[in-house]
Amino acid sequence: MYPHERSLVKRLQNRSFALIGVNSDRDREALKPVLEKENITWRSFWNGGSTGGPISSAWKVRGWPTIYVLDGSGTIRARDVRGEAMDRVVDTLLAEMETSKK
Amino acid sequence: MCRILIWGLVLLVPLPAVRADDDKKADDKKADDKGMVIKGKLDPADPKDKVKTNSPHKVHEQRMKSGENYQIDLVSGAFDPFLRLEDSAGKQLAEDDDGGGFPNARILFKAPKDGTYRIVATSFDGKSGDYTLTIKKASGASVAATSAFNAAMAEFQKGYNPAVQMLMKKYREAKTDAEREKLLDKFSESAEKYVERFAKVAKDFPGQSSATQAAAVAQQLRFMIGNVKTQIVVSVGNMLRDEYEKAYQAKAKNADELYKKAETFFTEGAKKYASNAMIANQLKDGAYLLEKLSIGKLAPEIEGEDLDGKKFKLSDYRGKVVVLDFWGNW
Repeated sequence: MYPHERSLVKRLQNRSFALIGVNSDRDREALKPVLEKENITWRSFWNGGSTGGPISSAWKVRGWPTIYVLDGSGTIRARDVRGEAMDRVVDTLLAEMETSKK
Repeated sequence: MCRILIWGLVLLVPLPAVRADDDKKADDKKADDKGMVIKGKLDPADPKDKVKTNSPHKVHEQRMKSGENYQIDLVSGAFDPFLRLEDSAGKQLAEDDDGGGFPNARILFKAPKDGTYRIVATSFDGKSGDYTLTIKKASGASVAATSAFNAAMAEFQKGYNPAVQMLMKKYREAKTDAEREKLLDKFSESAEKYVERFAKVAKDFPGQSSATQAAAVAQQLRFMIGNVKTQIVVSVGNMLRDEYEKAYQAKAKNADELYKKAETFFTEGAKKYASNAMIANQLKDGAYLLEKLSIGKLAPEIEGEDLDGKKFKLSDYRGKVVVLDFWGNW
């Protein structure tokens, strides 16, 4: 998972794009070395130290990882997409947003 | 390692308990009615078993009397136990993987002649670790109970999953609610026969451990049958939601209509199954997912803090395409 996310973030660093995590690990401090080692630069919400935390509960997340893709208006435009399929959705949404701005 | 998996629901047969009075007999070298208990350990360096060729094995020699029934149990929390029984010359007489209640192994054996037999403790999964081997004389009733239990289990394993698959297929193809209800009822009715099969084993052999297992299986099966109904109703709801989302993404004209159809299914269903809490709750969840978390909906706001404790909101990222990734480092 991490390498794909890393390359997506790097590729789109100058575009109107953000990868936001919701992290459900138990220990925030124990996670810090992992962030460093894996070069995880994107921001994550803290789910309170459990998979049953408030954010994943409100979103009724049952499997990890779970992915949602939102457009610039905050509307859900795709879910359960991974890898290249996720990249395609993101690229399409970026193109859509950039055309409508012109 | 034979697992019965129905949508992630595992039918767990309770492990046969090693009784405390058995433990006290650990030094008793006779396999009498109370049995003898051997605490052993499979070491990765032990020689590989000749049948489970990737697994280390240990041999325990045991004298047995002609015509006597023996129950041999291999239990471990460290590996998936696999038991084999050989005669003194090393010829295999019996083997078992999960007969002692998943994942433990049990062999029931009637010795054909006086002599020394080789009990081989090994693992199905190639792992190693501590184990408990119990050898005891089994009564005729115990042997009969076990074979009745095994027969019921074999019949269940052969018939149940294909029946579920068939039900799914027919349910999706059904045109009317009445038809679907009839399919569910018919399935429940036919699946009941497995429950009855196990319940009968439980009733016919009171006091036998196989009877206790059979009673537990009957109970779990009842739950599974109820759950299958839930799963099928919910899967139809999810299918309707998927159809709406696909139509929305394709900007199809009928997207609104498909949304209404899914919405009606969940809300009407929750009313219809109000007396069945399991189905009703799943349908309520389905309605919530459709309304709040489907494609085309405004993402619910998230207000929280990041891994450094700094507060932020999901809506801070309006104007950007956002991939929201629920993750964990596991």
